[in-house]
Amino acid sequence: MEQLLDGKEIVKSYGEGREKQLVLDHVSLEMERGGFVSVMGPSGSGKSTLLYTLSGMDSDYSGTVVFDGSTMSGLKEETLADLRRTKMGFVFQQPAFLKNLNLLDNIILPVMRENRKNGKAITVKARALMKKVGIEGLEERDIAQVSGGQLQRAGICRALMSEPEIIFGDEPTGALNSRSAQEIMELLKEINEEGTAVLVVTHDAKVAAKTKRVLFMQDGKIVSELVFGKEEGDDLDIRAEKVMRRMRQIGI
Amino acid sequence: MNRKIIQRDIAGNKAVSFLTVLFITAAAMLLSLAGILVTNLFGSIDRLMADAKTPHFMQMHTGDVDFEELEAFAEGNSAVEDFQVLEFLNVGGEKIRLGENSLALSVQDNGFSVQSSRFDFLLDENNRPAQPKDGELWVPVCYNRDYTVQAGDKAVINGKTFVVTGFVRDSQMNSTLASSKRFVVSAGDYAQLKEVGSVEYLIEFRLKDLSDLSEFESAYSASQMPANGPTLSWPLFRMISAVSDGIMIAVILLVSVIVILIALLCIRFTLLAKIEDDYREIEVMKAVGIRVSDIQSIYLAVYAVLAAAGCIMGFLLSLALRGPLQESIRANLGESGNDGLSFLLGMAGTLLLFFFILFFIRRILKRFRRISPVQAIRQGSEQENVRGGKSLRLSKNRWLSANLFLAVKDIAARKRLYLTMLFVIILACFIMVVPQNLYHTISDSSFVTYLGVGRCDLRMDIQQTEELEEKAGSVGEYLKRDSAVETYAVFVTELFDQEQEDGTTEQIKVELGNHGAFPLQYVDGKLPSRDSDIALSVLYAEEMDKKVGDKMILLTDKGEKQLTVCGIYSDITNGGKTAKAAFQPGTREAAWSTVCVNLKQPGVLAEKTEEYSRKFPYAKVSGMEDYVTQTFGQTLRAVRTASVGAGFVAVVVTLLVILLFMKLLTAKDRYSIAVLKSVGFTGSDISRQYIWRSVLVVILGILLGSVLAGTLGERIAGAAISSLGAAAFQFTEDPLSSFVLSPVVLLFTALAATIAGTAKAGNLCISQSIKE
Repeated sequence: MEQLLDGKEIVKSYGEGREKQLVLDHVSLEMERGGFVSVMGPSGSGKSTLLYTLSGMDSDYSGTVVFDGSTMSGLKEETLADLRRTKMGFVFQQPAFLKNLNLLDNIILPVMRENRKNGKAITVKARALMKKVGIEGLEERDIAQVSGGQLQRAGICRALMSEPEIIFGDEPTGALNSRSAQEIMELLKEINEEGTAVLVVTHDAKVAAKTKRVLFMQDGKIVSELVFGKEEGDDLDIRAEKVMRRMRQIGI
Repeated sequence: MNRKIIQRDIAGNKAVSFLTVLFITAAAMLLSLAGILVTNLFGSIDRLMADAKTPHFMQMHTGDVDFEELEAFAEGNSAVEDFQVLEFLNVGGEKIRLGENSLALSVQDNGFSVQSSRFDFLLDENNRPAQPKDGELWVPVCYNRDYTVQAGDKAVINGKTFVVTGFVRDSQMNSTLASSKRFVVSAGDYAQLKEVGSVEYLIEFRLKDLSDLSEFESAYSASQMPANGPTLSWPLFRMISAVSDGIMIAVILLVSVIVILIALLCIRFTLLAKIEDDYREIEVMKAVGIRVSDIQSIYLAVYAVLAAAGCIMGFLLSLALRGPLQESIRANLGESGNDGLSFLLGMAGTLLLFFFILFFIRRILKRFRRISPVQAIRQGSEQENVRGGKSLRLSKNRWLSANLFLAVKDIAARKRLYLTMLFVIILACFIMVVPQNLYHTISDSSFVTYLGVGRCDLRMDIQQTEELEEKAGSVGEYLKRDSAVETYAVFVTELFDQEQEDGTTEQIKVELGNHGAFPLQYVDGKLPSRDSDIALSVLYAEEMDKKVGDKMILLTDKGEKQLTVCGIYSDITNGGKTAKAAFQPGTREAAWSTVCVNLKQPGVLAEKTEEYSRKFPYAKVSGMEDYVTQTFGQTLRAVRTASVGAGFVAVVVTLLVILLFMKLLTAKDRYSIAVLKSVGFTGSDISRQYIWRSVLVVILGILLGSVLAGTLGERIAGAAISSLGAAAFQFTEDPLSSFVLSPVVLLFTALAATIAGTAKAGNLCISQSIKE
């Protein structure tokens, strides 16, 4: 399968001198088009940093990241922003929305930046997406007037508006109860099945179990990898059990 | 512990602390300066008038004087302490040459006197009566101030050479607003000069008690004492001396009030931003049992240190800067002797400002009590009010770019936040435009119509001459035939007795002629057009207690003439007490005559001025523009200095406040910026949004500021102008500078500050900021 994302020898650290702390230690990661990958690891293992580095939100690192054929480290800030807007979607742990826009406006915001003339079509598309993820009827609500699960779905709608190549999720279920979390993962799975690649960072084995491939991180390194095959089938419990076993094996 | 907290806090917010101190410094400096200058101005005037022994009442008179009769009047009036008659030798400007310059074009009545022996002294730079020897000339100080002549220069008066020995301060006529200027020569030289000019008498009285002045004025006016000329008194001398520098002080005071307002707005904004930042810490402190008053005192202490630093620096700066500003007061009016008092007053103003700032901060800090623990722990920060602008929907927007839309939406949603910036822009616009309008109004050629002078290209004054009416008539005949003249009017001023209600009579000067040709600004009513109309100056109307429609009776040589007051106008000429009527002059001797001329081609003004001066040697011919620049030049210069200063202050204030505001705003908006960046908005998108916000607020501020300047500003300026004697007042705006140049300058300043303040806004770390 064709490659979508290729990170090589990524090194990143915070702080200076004695207080210098290595967060990513020569990490390499490949991901094909339409892939569904999760990165697992304890707090501070560097998994979120890896996600922000791969998505170009963080550009202060060494090593190379190639996304959809272009080397990200050589791109200007403006081009990176264009990439994020047109080819990438993001879902954060805490839903990131503008407080003074309603839900619908928040969802259409990125595409309205250059397509305001097509506002009508964009709105129709946003409403259809909202219906698909189960939050129809909440269009005019303020973001303080809906639940965390509903906000996360709205975040996914926003990420899908530009029909991206990939969706990055930083603990997208971290702030949700287990039922909502499973619903969100089911949604991401459906999106993946329609052809969009998904890369999520999580510390929840059940969330990782929904993906096709799990990478384990510890102390800034990818220490292990698990690829689900036919033997596990779709049984979530078996998959989750396998993830947990691997975690115990490598001691995280 | 407090000391450490204060040090850390101030060092941690260097930019904010610096700007806060800067504004307080500016406010303290201006306030202290205004205090120092006011005490010095009035101190100098009082001292000058005391040293010079200024007369309390003075009647100028042309014609014969019966000294014995005057002596008898003075002795018979118990209020009189001292009395004298001085001679003032009026000499045409063309006969006076000072150094390289001729006074031919001077609009002043220049004349010569010997030093008085009893009172009304003309003082040297040490406030001692100047005592010229033969061949020495002491020149009015205004001719030194405008660089016409230096000490040691030669002066030639009608061919006789003098050495300019020094400059005199004249407690009556120092200001260029006073129309006469006295040169001092020795008695011997005076006798030689006497045939060069015409003698005018200054009949002067000092009273035992100044409070008897108005009674004395009535008594003099009711008697048949000489009165062929303006009547002037102590309060007018004092006012005329104060006006030029007084206006500058008024502008400084106005600017200082506005800078104080701006300083307070900034303190409020930064303090609220800080409280919001420290929201959780405040709650933790409250939770572990620290009293609210203790927490408040930490914040208060930080600002007390900043306020104290600003006030001290401002006060010291005002001491350093007072020199140049005091210079004109010192040169014109002499030392005030009030240095100690002015120092104290400046300090008192600064202290007052300091305590006012502390009081203001205490009021803001009251909101600590409103922070509830539950709110703090749940939300982590004070909930912002984002309720406004609901009807603005991105999904319905087809016209505005996303960046402009977000800017509009943000302003609508957080109105209160932008109010600070709006107020500052309104005030900046106000202080920029009002002094400019004031300057433009005073410098406009029609301004004289507020002051009792008709607007014309040139005027001729015929005074102190025999057969005045015949001469005025021949001037009129000449003008009638002159093809260069578009319109002209001859006015003749005559003295009439006016019958009082109690049967006594008082003298009144009435200017007769066609007043429609060169109309004045009327405060009330209209100009006299019918035979039975009379218009009064504001001062006269007040003194006689007359309103439009009231009747009054004049005794003419044809008997009693009943007149109706048709209008009231403001006037500063001839002591401010004048009247105008349209009836035909009688056969009595006129006091003086004025001829106003409008030319068809303004280009020939200089040529015509010269021609008329040559043709009518008894008339003083002056171009109106020269008249305005020479009469109001001193005031104009002060107002221009003030307006340039105010414009500079407005620009600096706008620059600093918007810079501060944008820095704080982008810090506050870190989260929203991170959200926007994460969904693909670029750094320049973010900057553009802030620029739009700034531009929208600034444009609104400029609009409101201009309206305010045209309404409230006009009133304030009107109050300042009324001290010049103009009661009715309307701004004459220079549309280019008021409505184009100033707004554009403010807008670009705001834009530059916004770009500088938000340049780094997009450079934040998304992953860090989005988790906050």
